[in-house]
Amino acid sequence: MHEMSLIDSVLRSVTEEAALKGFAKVKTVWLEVGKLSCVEPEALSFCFEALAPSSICEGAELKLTETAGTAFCPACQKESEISRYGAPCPECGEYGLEIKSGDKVFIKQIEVEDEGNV
Amino acid sequence: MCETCGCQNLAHEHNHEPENRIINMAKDVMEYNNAFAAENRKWFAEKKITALNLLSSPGAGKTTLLAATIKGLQNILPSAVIEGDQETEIDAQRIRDTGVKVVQINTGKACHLDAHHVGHAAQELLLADGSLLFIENVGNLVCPAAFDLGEKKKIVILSATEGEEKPLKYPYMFAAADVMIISKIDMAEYTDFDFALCEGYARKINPDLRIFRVSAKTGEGMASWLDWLKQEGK
Repeated sequence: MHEMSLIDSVLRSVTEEAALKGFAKVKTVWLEVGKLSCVEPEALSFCFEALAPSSICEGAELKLTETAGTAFCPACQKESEISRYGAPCPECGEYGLEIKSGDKVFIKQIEVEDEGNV
Repeated sequence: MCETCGCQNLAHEHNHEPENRIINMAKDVMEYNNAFAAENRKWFAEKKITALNLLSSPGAGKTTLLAATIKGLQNILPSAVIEGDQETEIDAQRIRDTGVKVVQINTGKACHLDAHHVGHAAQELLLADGSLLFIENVGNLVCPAAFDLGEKKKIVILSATEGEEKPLKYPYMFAAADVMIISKIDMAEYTDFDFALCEGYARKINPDLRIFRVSAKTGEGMASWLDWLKQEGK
């Protein structure tokens, strides 16, 4: 359940960012979850609900979007979309693809509430 | 983009009465861990410490292999160990019995070690320059794959009492690893473990994987594993 650590890290970054910009409340957090990131979106939501109440994100909504995974095949030199880690090349069937994108989780944006303290 | 509120409309008025604003962050969630990992890596390099991250499912024989490895390196390479477990000091005590320095990290609720844990533990060990540092991760083939600890190499251990198809079932771990050790090879005759099948699966996921077959109990295969460690620790 490393989603707990990831949400902890999200809350840390969001708190820092909001404090830096002078906001006291976060309304929405958008996360972009790569399909190859080894992260379960449902578990992320669950952990966010568990940890957010004791943070600046109390009552905030977590919005997740999934991004596709892309990989380069050294055998046929083609870049393709793949849906799971360790999958063979959809073009030529070879293994050992180099992952190009979709293996990370990004905090895309946050919506903060202006409480007039700026 | 509007610098004040992050919106796309540059022409609007900025009197900003209470309203909600969007801040673009585009920040990798692993950045927090990775920053600590980079610090560890720098510190290891300065002290010429070779850090190795040992990963496996629970019960693959990491600690037994580690104890035998440390014995095999006695008077050749100074070694130290960071033990990661959810709870207890049992593994640390087993390693301490071999005479090397060890720090136990109990992760509590967490299912993996992170770079922050490891940085503190490594400082606590007061490592001699040129040491080999074994980091025995929490037994788990999923989560620890995602966390860089600042190590030089990741070593995944799979025992001959597990299934040959583990590399396909846990591809993240086997893709992230530099080395795979098949442990408990003395048990292979009882479990009908098919080495070629298992190694074939592993190389499908990771063609560059270095593979060793080892029994810590009988000592079979230990010599080439120890030779590899001596090269790495140079």
